[in-house]
Amino acid sequence: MRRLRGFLMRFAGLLGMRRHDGELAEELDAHVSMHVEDNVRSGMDPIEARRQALIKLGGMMQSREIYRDQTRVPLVETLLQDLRYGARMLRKNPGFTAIAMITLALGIGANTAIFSVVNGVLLRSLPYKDPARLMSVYCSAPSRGVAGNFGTSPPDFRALREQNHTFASLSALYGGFFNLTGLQRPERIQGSVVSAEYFSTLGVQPFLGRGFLPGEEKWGSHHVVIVSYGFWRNHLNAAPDISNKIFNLDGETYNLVGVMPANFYDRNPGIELWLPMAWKPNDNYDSHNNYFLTMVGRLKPGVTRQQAYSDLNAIMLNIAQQFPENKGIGADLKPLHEAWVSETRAALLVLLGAVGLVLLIACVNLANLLLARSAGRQKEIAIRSALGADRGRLLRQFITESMLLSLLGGSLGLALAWFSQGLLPLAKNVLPFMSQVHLDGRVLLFTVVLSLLTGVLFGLIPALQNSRSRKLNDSLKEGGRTSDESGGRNRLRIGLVVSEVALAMVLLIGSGLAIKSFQRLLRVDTGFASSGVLTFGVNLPQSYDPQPDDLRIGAPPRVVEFYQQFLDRIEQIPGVKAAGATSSLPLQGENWGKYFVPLDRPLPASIDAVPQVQYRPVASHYFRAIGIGLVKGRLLDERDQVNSAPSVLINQALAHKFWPDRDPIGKLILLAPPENLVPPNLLPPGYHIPKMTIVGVVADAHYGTLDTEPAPVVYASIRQHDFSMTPSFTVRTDGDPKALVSSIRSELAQIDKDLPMADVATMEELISTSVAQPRLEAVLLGLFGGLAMVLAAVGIYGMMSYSVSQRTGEIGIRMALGASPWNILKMICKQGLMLTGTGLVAGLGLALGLTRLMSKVLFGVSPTDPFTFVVIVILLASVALLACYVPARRATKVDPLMALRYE
Amino acid sequence: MGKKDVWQGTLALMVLKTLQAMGPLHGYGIARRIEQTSGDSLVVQYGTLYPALLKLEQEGYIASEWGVSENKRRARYYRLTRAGRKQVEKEAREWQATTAIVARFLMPEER
Repeated sequence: MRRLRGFLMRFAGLLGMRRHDGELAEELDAHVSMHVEDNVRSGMDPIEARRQALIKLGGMMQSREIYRDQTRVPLVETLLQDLRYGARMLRKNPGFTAIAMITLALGIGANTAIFSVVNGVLLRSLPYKDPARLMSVYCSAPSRGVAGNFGTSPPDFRALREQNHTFASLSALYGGFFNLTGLQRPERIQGSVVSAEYFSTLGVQPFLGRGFLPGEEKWGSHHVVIVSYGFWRNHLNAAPDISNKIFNLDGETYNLVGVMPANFYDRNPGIELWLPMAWKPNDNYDSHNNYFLTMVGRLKPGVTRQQAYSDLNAIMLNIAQQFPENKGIGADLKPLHEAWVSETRAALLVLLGAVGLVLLIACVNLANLLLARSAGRQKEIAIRSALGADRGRLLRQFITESMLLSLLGGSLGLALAWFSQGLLPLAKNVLPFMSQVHLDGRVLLFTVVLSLLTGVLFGLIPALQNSRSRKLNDSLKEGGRTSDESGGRNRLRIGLVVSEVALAMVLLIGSGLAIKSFQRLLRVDTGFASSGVLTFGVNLPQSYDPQPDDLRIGAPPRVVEFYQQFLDRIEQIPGVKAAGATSSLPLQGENWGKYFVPLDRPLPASIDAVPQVQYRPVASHYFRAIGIGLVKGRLLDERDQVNSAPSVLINQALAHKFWPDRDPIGKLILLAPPENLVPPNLLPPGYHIPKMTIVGVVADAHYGTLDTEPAPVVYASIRQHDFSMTPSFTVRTDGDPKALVSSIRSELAQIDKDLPMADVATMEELISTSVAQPRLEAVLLGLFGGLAMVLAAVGIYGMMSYSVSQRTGEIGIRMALGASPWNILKMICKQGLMLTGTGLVAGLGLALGLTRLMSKVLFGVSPTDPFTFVVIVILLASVALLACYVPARRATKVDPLMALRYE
Repeated sequence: MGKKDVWQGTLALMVLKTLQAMGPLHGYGIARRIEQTSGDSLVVQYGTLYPALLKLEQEGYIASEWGVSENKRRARYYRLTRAGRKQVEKEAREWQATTAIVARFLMPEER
């Protein structure tokens, strides 16, 4: 207690609230006087009396020093003193301060911005209860040659949910689009169909109303809906009473039972409503033929991933024994967070590494600047140390100065990062959790710590250099001539510039690789002609197919009629050259697989040996509208009617895979397993799987991503095979595709006023969206690389200017002795290029080691791409030459007379 | 044998005890009083006295204010606070206990 009080009073002293030095002086004076008077009284003469008093009472100054230290907090006081002094120094050199602050602001700002994204996306745990126990559960079938993971089927999900012993709860979901009618104009809403325990698995409660009940998974009791907070605000005017709210979705009425809270985060931020997962009896989707459900599970406390893995696979094995078509399909799981961010992790870490390098280069640059500046401060430093400042004290002062600078730069950087948040929407479709990216406390802390570290990093070397005592003596002896540079300091500066060039080289090569990779991606042949193509989606409600029948071939009459009528009307619109439809457009994912059995060879022996390919149903002039060229044979057309012989088209990849050296035209195939491999009860008596004839081969379009090889695809007419109730339409025009939207919309309304037109985009926009992440990566890396190059150029320029100013005398003598300006220019540039050359060689070595870390985010470019390396070396060398040339030219302007006079 | 400097810990007790005995007193008076009481075997220097006074004041055991000395000179007078009076008693007791213990060690061994 007493100690605390003492300490607080010391701080009061610091703030000038307590006793001043003057008071102590007065008190001590009084003390001495009283002593002198006493001495005089006892018979001494006044002078001797005073002398005795002073001797006896010890050093007055020391006493005051101790006293002063005790009234205040010396460390804090010197800190404040150093800060004041540092601020004064910064004000005195506005040019230096501005350059340093801008360099730091850019470096720290870029780091803060990227870290805020890393923080929001990679570091932040999922916004659910106890997120570490949440697992993404999925299926895989490596033994069947299926690459990657896929979802589960409804019966498998129910078996896993009921029989597992390791999950507290296991839920499943799939996405879909629903036509919302009866509010204003019809609208297509993105929704998610979920098992009843979906919300409780995540540990989130609706903010109004209730979640789904297990009974609502029963067909007939499933007409309930939960909506998002945004939907509730926009469509229901945030009405607090949600009872008796009824929606019309796809022509059926649903009762509103709940509203999710505003901060509820669904993996897909576009989802506005949730429906319970219920299956009509004998629905084909509710079978072992369809693996499309995403599963999210919450592990029981204490259960390991391995235990859950064994548990799930025991169940899957059990299922496969009852249903042979399940053979080879196993289950696996990984933490939900990992499953959601794994795609972006590599890209973000590369970016973070790049901004880290930029900051490192900025530090090296500043260290160099400080070193150059401190050469001019030698005298000041010498005087300070002569007056008693020890090395620690000097060090502290220099570090305080550089920290002050870095904190100022850091706050400017924070402001930059804050403004750059406005750019976040650019990355919206690229990264998950973008809504979670904020400049929060953790980012703030990161920035402060980074600024302080930066300050130490760039301040330490100059500070150590400056506070060397040998130096101090020398510079005092020189009587304030400050231009003399020892070899050590010069070597240090050269080393800094060399490392700066090397770091810039690494960064530039990294950005060069990213840019080249992005160009490669853009140059990939998409397999279709994207310009002048409009695309959009339409959802057909179940009323268009009132009695689904798995054995029926092709779409029901009403659906066929809709496609036909709508596409014919579109083709009547002036400017439209062709219109067609398919289930899912290129670059939107390989999302519909089918068994594929060529009949010109022995049939597969078991169901798990049946190959699978991608399937797309097409209507009208799909191929002409999207620009997929015919390679061989004919396209599907009016000849392919419901009752005519079923025909298919295949792409080149499929042709190459199955008929590498033969003509596939005319070959018969099945788009199902051979009949003997289908479980007997699935096929009604007398039914035979239709044989289809290959009538043409078309070019390979990328249905997946541009950086993967196009998959084998088989196309069939909607009249003759499986069709889609959620088709995507493509319309080719001479003019601006977007200009067609309103006329197409009115045609659609004339056919069915309740059908909305959704996801309107040109094909070029779809391509652009599909490469958004590599583009972002290339743009940012290019930006950081450019920044690094500028910083390195400034570093070389600074070094060379300094060197020229140091060598003015020498240059003067050389010129007086007859050196031509050209000789001087060559001499200076050679020195600069030696420096750069060393940096480039070091950078080359570093880059060869580091770019390998990028291989995950590169496409079509080797991490050691010689072309990129050569281009970057030439680029950096030319920039360096330019940075040398300016000071070198200045050197040639040296007037020998003037130069010698200064000596 | 020369005179000894006062060592820190005990100076505080001496100052407090002096103020208890003498009432409000200036620094010089305190120094003289301590020297006299010690039979001039101790020397009190500024370097030790004033920091000690400041510390005691910061801890709240003594308070100070400007006054006028016997010779009509402006001087800072120190006086014991209530906490200071308690502290004197406490420290004196502790000191006595300590010296008693030390004394036992120094006494000739009983045989």
